[in-house]
Amino acid sequence: MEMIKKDKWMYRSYWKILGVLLFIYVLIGGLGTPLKPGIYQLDAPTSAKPGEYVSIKVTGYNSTYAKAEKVEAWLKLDDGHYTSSLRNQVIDNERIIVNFLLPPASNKEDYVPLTLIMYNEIDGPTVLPDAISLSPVTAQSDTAAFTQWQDQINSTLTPKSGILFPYRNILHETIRNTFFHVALWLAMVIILIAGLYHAIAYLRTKNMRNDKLSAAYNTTAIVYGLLGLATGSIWARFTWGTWWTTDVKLNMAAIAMLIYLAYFILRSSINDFDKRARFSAAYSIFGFVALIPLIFVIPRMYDSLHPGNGGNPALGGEDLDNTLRMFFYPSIIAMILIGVWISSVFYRIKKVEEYILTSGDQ
Amino acid sequence: MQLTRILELIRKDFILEIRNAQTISAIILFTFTVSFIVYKSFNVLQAQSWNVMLWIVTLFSLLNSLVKSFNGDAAKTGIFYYSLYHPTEVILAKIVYNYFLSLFVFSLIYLAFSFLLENHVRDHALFTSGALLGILGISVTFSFVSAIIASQENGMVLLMAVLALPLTLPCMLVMIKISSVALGLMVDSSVYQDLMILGGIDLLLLSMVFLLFNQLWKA
Repeated sequence: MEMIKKDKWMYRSYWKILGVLLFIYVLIGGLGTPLKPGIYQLDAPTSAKPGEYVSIKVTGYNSTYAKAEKVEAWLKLDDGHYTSSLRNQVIDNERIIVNFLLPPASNKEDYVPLTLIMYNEIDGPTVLPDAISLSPVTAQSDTAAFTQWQDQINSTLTPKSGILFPYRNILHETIRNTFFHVALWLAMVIILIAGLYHAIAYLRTKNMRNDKLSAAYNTTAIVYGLLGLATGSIWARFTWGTWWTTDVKLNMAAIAMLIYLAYFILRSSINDFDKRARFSAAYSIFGFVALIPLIFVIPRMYDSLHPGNGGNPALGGEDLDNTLRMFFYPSIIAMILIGVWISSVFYRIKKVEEYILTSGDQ
Repeated sequence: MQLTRILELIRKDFILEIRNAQTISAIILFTFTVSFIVYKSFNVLQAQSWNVMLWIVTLFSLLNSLVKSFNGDAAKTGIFYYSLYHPTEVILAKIVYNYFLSLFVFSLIYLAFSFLLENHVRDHALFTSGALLGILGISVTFSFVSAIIASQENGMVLLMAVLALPLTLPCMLVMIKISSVALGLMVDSSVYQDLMILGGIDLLLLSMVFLLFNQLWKA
């Protein structure tokens, strides 16, 4: 069984080593880097009247309330209008009671959500939106109301330095799943496109090498897709409280899996090599095209919990900060390299199988 | 590629269907039987379930009606057509014929549902245009897959279902949404955009079939 010249790169090891090294870097850094401090939980009434005295028991995460020299806290009405806490009782590093005397005025005749901002010189600023809501009172004019919310944040809030992942209130530690769940899906799409390329190339050249490569890439894509579903499901369990939802993106992803699993049923049901190659190439091209509306059109027609829909940010702006990028991009590259490696192994298995079937008797 | 040649092929399919009345009568009986099962299982069907049941019954009836659409050709006469007609003519004729057959099957089911149960449709124009576009997408997909599995000896219906059903999902989802608007189940001012999306999906599927059928036909 001679080696095809075009396949030489499969037998080189530098890119496989690069992929594995990048993956180890992502594993160690992505799982080992601590989160920034944050506010984990509040023990407080859900709403308070203007002029009322409220005391809020704050449970922090990775915080150092006892160690810090001075802990400051503010409740924020809107930009530029704050009220600062009267006095704080520190219990330990993770727990603190902050007390506020709310100003006796509000500018709306409706519940107003107040944001809790805490600061100490070790942790840097930590923020919890919708910490408590201000009960409705007879509204005063903006200027009259705002004169009573006049405490300013005096100290410059320097964030905690060092390589730390951002703290997000719903995600907590699962923010690390970005490196696995999201990177798996991106790598899957790239590998599917590689499979599509070889399917088209097969139909143009009728070279069996392209058929085997196409099937190999599609197999890997299926494996990645199932892993993506599994990691997503675990993430959904933590953040949304359920393994699976009726969410449109999840179900479209499941349908994509069904289409590509059907591709393998089709392959296994045809015995003739040429016919199998031609039909499965045609089906995989058709399936890929049918996926385009499923992935890019229909999810936009429905609301979704999933990031990237209905006002939920996906990979833009504040959700992917620079420390996450340090591991996210290497993770995508590592997943693609490892995926191509897996595919090349599938390809070589298929080559051996064909060799045994056609000339194994001698 | 000429219109008359395509019409010839459609006429041939039609005559074969009429002569071999067993298939078409089986389809008619199948649709009524399934509609009756739905009717007696539910007795009273709310608009939402009516909508979903109508499309599910349609989907599976079309699956059964179109599964053999290339079977007769592939067996003996395939080479004969291959020498006479261009593959594009063959698939175009087949799609047109399958489309009309699908519309016929759908109208049977629709009549049965309206007769046995109740007709919940409020916006008939919207419902009809959604059905016309959606059934086009489904029949194109089924035609393509039945061309793929034409050479299979056994397990045809199962393979067809596995291969084709996930592919029809984009059409089905948009179509069910449009028809629930037409039934007054939900209010959506951008429903005409959905109609355009459905038409776009149809065009996408059609162009893929034309591009790929050349490859299948040589087999």
